[in-house]
Amino acid sequence: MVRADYGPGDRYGRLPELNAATRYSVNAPPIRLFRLNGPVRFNSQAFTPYRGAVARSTDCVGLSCAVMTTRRTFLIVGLAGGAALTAAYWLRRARVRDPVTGGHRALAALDPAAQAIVAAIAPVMLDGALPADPADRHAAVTETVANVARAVSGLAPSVQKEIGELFSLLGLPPTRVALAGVTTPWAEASPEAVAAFLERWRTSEWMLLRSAYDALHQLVLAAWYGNPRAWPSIGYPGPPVLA
Amino acid sequence: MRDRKDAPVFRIVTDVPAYGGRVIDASVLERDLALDADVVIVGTGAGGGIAAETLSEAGLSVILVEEGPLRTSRDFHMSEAQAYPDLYQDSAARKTKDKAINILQGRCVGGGTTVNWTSSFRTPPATLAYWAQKLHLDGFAVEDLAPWFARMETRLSIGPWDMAPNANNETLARGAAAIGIRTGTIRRNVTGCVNLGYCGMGCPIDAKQSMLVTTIPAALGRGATLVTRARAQAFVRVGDHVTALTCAAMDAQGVRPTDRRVTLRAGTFISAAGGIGTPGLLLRSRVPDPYAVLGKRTFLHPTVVSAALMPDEVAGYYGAPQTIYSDHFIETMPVEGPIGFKLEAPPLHPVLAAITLPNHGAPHARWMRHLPNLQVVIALLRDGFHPASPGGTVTLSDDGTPVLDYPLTPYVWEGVRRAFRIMAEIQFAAGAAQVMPIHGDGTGYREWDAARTAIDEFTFAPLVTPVVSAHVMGGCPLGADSHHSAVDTAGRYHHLANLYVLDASLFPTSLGANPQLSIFAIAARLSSGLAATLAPGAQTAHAA
Repeated sequence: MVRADYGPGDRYGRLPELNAATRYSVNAPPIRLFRLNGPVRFNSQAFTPYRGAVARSTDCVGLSCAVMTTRRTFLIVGLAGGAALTAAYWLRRARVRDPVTGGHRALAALDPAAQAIVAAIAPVMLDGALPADPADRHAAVTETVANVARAVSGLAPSVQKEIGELFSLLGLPPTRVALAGVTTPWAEASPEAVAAFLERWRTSEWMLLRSAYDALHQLVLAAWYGNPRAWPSIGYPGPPVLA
Repeated sequence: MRDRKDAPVFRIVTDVPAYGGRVIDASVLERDLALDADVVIVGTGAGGGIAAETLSEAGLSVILVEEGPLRTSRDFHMSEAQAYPDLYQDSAARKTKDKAINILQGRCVGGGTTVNWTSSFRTPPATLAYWAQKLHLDGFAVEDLAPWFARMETRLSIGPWDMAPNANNETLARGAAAIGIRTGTIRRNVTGCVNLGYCGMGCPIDAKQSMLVTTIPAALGRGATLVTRARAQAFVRVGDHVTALTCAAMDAQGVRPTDRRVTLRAGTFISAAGGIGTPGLLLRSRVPDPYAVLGKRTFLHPTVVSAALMPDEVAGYYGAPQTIYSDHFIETMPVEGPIGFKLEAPPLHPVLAAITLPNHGAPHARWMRHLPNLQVVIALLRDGFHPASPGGTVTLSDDGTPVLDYPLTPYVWEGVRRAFRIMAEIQFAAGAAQVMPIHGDGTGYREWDAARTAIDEFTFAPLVTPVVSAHVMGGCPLGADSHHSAVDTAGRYHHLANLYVLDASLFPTSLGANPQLSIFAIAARLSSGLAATLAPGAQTAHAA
């Protein structure tokens, strides 16, 4: 059914040979860096129940202030429960008219306020990854926002609703200040303020905020690294060419 | 810096298998549709695809219904941005209820087999022994299934992979060998594979012998009907008989149901919508479930990840994605003891790498810049055998869609710690310059001692330690005893006369191995049994 013809100049066709013979000699004596431990033994100590608080984890940094914030957060949202989320969502819906315009249907999955939030978060999330040239950088952020919107438009309605609630929460000033710790509108937020917000949610004691961070992480990073514009800087030559 | 001109070039001559026969895209239906057949099969993945071939071969009329789209190699462009939203459940971002586990599940014609990484393992003997001895499941021993495995291996060209592993997999082999851990070569279901490495985005050259290019075209060729972009809503019952399946046509993007309905009537119904999908469909249908087993004991092979920076280029985005494995911690660990795990390597494409690497900003970008030198090992934990490993539970959310609640318990985390240790040890033994267990802020370690000390002190928690899964199993388990199982050993739902389940949701535990070949073999056996009772003339023959 399929015939593949490796051309003479095809560097990829030589890759298996390169792997086996050139790069790592399979027959060479094994590099023995460590003592062989044998089968790893079951360690009953490891069964002690997880104590819950991420803040106690030694690998989290910058938590002293975050803990305070997240405790307050926990109270705020804990008291109001899902009602606060829902209220924020519907308030946002009422305030912002659906921008369904011809030719930009995917963007409609994110209202302008949500787009502004992604546009504020993306340069910080992608710090060190975006092009240095200002025009390229601007285009990269714009495309990332559009790709996030497109990604959201393809998610299940229940997930779209949750993401809508997340952006509503981030967009309304009271919850933006209380939960995200960002005191200015998103379009004016400093990179430091956005970075502090991301770090606070990433390391939050509260799982809901960590899951919200995870959603932003996944949406923004996938939107950028799925874009061929991102590939040269990470050394990814792109998929093979099928000729 | 590498760029497009460095991408390998292949000259390919390919004949796309013609998708003839009757294929109905429900997203463009202008009016409601009703169809009749002998058998209706929900789902076109490993279970549904095999069942469709077996039953159509027996002369039965078959309708296959699939929620996802029909896409073929013409549509597969090795692009993550295109493939994940189009071919995967929830754009490859399906989550468990608390969002702590990301599940990769196919949603397209061919299901998981269209997007999986081609790894083909027979069910491990220890798993089958546990089913026989502890769960009293008769007829599923190694020798019972051997002929079915052999038949499926022939049908789907499953065999040894002769090309050298890519450097990502070879590093696993070399590191494991250095510390005395045995590895093996993964068998793959391919013909004419040229080692591209993009199996997860749909094989662009039809080398992967998925259901998409094998059993489904065969069934269509024998007159089967395929309805795509239709979500199975519920079975309609009269007494203990299912009389129809109602489906909602989906919009062209597969996001929302349209107003169009599809009603499928048949004498026999098969649910092959996979783990999560099948229990969800049965729960929505409110089938009798007197002992509340539906959706319980759903397993994932919770998987954790260890990344390494190698001194030489790895290019883990090219070459067959999974070719080397180690079952050392499956074979040396008793199934009922601390959780065992299988070690494998995943493909390393930019989006998958970016969403897996923790943290953001400069630390994240630093690792991404080294993508060509990135090497990754994954550990797939064997859940469901120990009393402390009951798996998760599928329930229905407000809008009727299924959701899996899978609590990550101390039993699982204990295995995660051992897995992180051994993965780091393997990577350092293979010469890694740095190892990053994917956890917390994603600190990299330059020495094995430092990594081990850190791993020993990790505080594991959901959404602090990313956990992923590509294998959803259970929720509708096989068994003779209806108190603890949902379907009998013929695959028939205990409490209904003509409803069968033929997919990974049948498994009473996880497998401890990538599941496709187990699904193929068990679906082949159970659908052959079903065909023998349903085939034209079967009754007469029995009477005679």
